[in-house]
Amino acid sequence: MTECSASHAKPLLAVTGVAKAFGRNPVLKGVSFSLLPGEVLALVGENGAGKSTLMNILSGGMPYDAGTILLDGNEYRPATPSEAIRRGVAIAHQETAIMPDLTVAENIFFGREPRNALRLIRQKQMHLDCRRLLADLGFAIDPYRMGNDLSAAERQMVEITRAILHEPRILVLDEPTASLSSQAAQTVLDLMARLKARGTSTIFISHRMSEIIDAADRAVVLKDGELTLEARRGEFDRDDLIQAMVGRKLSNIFPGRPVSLASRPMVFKVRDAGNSALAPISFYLRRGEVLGIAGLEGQGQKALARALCGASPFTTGTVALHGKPAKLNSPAAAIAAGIASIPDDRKHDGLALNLPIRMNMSLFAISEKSRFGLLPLNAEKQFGEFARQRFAIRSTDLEQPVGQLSGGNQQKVVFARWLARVPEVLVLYEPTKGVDIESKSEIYHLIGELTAQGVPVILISSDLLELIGMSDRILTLYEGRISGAIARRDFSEEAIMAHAAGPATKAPATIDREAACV
Amino acid sequence: MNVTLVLSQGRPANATLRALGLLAILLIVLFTASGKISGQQVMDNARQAAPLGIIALGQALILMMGRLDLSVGAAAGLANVVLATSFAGDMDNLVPALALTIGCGLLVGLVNGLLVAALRIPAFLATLATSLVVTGILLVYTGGSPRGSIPAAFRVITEGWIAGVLPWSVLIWFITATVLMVFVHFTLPGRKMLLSGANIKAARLNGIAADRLVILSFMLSSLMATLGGILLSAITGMASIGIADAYTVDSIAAAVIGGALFAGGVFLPAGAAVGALLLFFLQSLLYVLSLPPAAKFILQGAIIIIALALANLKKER
Amino acid sequence: MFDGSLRFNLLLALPALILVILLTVVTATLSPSFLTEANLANIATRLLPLGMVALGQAIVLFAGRIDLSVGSIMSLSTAIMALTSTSLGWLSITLTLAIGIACGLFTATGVIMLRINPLVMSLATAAIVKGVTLLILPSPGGEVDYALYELLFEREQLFGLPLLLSLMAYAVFAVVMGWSRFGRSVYAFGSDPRAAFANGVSGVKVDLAIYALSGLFSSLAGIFLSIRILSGDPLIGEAYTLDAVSAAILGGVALQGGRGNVIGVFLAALSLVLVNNTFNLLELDTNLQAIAKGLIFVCALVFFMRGKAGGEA
Repeated sequence: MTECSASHAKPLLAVTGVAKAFGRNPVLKGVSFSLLPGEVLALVGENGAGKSTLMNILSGGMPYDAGTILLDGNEYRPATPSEAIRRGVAIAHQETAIMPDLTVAENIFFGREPRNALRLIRQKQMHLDCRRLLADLGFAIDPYRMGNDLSAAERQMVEITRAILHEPRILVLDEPTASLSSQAAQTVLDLMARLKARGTSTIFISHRMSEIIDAADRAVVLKDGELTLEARRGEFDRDDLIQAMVGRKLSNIFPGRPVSLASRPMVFKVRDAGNSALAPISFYLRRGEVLGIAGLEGQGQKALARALCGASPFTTGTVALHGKPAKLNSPAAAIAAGIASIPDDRKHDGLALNLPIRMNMSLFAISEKSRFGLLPLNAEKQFGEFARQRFAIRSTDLEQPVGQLSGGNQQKVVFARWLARVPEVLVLYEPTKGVDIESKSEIYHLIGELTAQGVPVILISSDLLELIGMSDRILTLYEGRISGAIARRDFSEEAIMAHAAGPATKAPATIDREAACV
Repeated sequence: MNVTLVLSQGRPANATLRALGLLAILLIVLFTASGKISGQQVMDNARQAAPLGIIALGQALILMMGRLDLSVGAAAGLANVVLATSFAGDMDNLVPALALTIGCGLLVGLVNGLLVAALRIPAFLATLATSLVVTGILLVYTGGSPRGSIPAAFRVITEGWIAGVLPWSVLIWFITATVLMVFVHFTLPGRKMLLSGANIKAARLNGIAADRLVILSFMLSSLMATLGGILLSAITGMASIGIADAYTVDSIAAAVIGGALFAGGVFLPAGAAVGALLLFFLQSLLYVLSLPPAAKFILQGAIIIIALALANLKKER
Repeated sequence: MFDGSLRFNLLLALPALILVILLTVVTATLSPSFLTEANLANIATRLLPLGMVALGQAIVLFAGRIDLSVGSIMSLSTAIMALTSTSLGWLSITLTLAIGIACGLFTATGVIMLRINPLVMSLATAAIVKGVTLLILPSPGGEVDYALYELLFEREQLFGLPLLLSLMAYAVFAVVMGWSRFGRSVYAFGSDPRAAFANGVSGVKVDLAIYALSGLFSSLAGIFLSIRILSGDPLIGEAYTLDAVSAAILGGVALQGGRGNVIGVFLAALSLVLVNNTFNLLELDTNLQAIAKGLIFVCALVFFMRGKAGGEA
């Protein structure tokens, strides 16, 4: 399809002025764009920009408050995912739609299982059909595997297969390659091309600029619920995308990093530390350094975070802080050693959502001030007011339940709690997930201040911009072991992906010895 | 300590105020129906409601932990039998009788706590199982007809009044509620318990010994049930199996009226107290209206549904 | 069958099977009257109500829910039967079933529309149903048409109607839950409600269906019970609630939903009936029975559920 005819073709999907708010939080503020038949559209944006909400709306997962959506000229307002599928829109979620206690085949064929004359499901036939389908698509997965047994990458592939089985007119892919190695990612990109040839349109969300530039016919950028850029292939480049995503110069968002940290003493040493989920790994941290940890999804990041915070401790190796051995056998031990760990899932692991901000923030601030076991209420109130100002937490007052705050403010409450005492090491795991740009920048500058005070930071993240902007060095994880090290001078999305994708990569990756600091 | 801070911590929550409002309305209805209003009557009703009130405090604590304790009725019954048997009608046995009764109660709580925290068995099933075993043991031990009795002098704790104004049982109830409130809202271990109830995963990651606190919460709940059982024993003067069976669901109803939520992290002892009073008054109202005793069960169920429905619908807004 | 999925895994029934074999062997050895036709028929007779109510509970558990009102609905059903059997004849059965289903739908409505925790809602339903039962039948009494007893239990055969009915019900639902789209949606919902919704499962429909089925089976159990005792009893169902949950868990059904199958539940219900039978034949203290069942329950819990993330009420 040439560009010329594409611009005259009638749009398959016409979105006009769509808005959606959660309570008092507006998430989409009047978004308009269109999708042509057989077109590949990339949807780009920061966390919290509204991409997932928009995709959820399109796939029938939630209603929209205002605006119109026309599918083939008819009003499109699906009440459920089933209805969306019937209208020809199928979504492959990032991973939440896999049913854990069903097999791969049962998941893929759910609701469309082949049945016999008695209307009973033909299990064996279904699994055979599934095997063929997966092979056809190029995915190597055993259809009898259970849903909860799959790796992140396999879940992704199953999700995509399930969506394709519905033979949709519009296929929505939410970060389809986030957990895939370059080889598998290429399979998906080829798949999108094959679908395009058949007239199926694809909307895909991605953070990988190179993919977007290669695969997308058009790109659309969302920022804070609004469309900031819409451009056709060849009309945009990486910097255009980033500028549209972030809204200002990158240099304003991230604090500056010192030029060289080579002269600083090494304060945190991890040697041959491992457990059932991590191969023995070793790395060092210098005073005031930010060590970025990158990798595809599910390569050991969670295990590393949990080991450092004491939740699933290392079983081998040693950890030393300022030259003295540190035992991280339990969260209490890790905290006593001075390690502050901010979890990736603040709603489940970090906050008591129905309790007031004051109570969520104060634990470490008041623990030591308690006399005779009583709560030092004065100290708690003082700390609350201090922290609210210091961390710029926007709320009505300290008694507001933390669940009512925006993602960014919630995250700042978590930071406030952990930073009541200056930590020896700060471990961050996806610190700005679901956080708006403003709060993100505040958090980055906060981290910068901490490092200026000498606090070393381990930054485990899947946000490449964040890693590149904040880190002094980056290590990549693959299958629970360190697969690469990159010095700041070599920072780039391509370099990180090359190391992160593990052994099966096109270009051989060289590990920068200085960066590895081993 | 700053007085305003203390007061603001102890300030009754909206749910409690709502419950108090309901109570006021009901008081009016009750005494209009029977023709008289007197402080003495209110106190007398509170005196009789005290056992339920104390048991409801324990249930409210467990609800704060996001769980249910279905063994409180059985624990109260156990207390009743153990107390009566070890008293054997003789006031000289006061100290050993109380010690043994409380000890048994704490043991039940410990078993519950271990089943839930160490073996990770869901609380409602674990406590249901414990109640079955406890009741079974009681039946076997007493052969169906328990012996022993409560000495008349001990019965002052439920029948007696201080200076003719305040019943002993109400005082005991008030002190218990105050102690628990101070524990949860004014002490560090209590705050840690509250945090464990609100989000146990987060509590563990913050270095709180959440599992130990869960065990403690079940021991406290059984202790409250034991206290309630002791008071019940003083009312009846003897031992009887199954005396407190209905109290289990009643305690849930009372705590729920008082604003307890299944999400955990909320502890409203004042609310539970009001809830118990309200429930007691409603049951008395059934009697006044000459309704059959079976209506009490319908009331239990209806109250739980209404209280929770109101709380949930309010949240939606 | 053995395609690895926990729903089809027959090994889950193993503990219950072992318990059944153990009890059979022990009792047969210690009591000569165990293996008589009369005794075996008795076992089959007692298995019918418990089996029905356990089946209903299992279906509810597959969906990740629980129903603590089953015992009360059973009691109510015996009361309705006892009060209407002689005047309405066969219609009394239809009436009882309808009311049982209505009770189940009542619980479902509270869960769906009022967003009340299913555990607590079923407790509330249990209380209300208990109250209603005591109102219409304050103490055991009433009369159930003897013709029904003649039909079901008179013959006293092992492979008579009671056993056949139990086996049929279990067989039908084993197939329905394992191989129908409905059954699959129930498991999917129990496995992960959000993922199920994204896959087109209507949580509302699942809740309505499972609680209605539970109500149906509870009232069916109550009907059979009332026929056997030829009367109604307002509190007879109390013990059955825990027994039903016990049987389900002993039969390998996971409390959090999404797993297990009914085969194990059948064997578990049988084993509970055998415990009762053993105590009777060996003339042991019936109070010890309560302790024994409680301990079996705890052991089943520990065996199957130890370490699972179960932190909710």
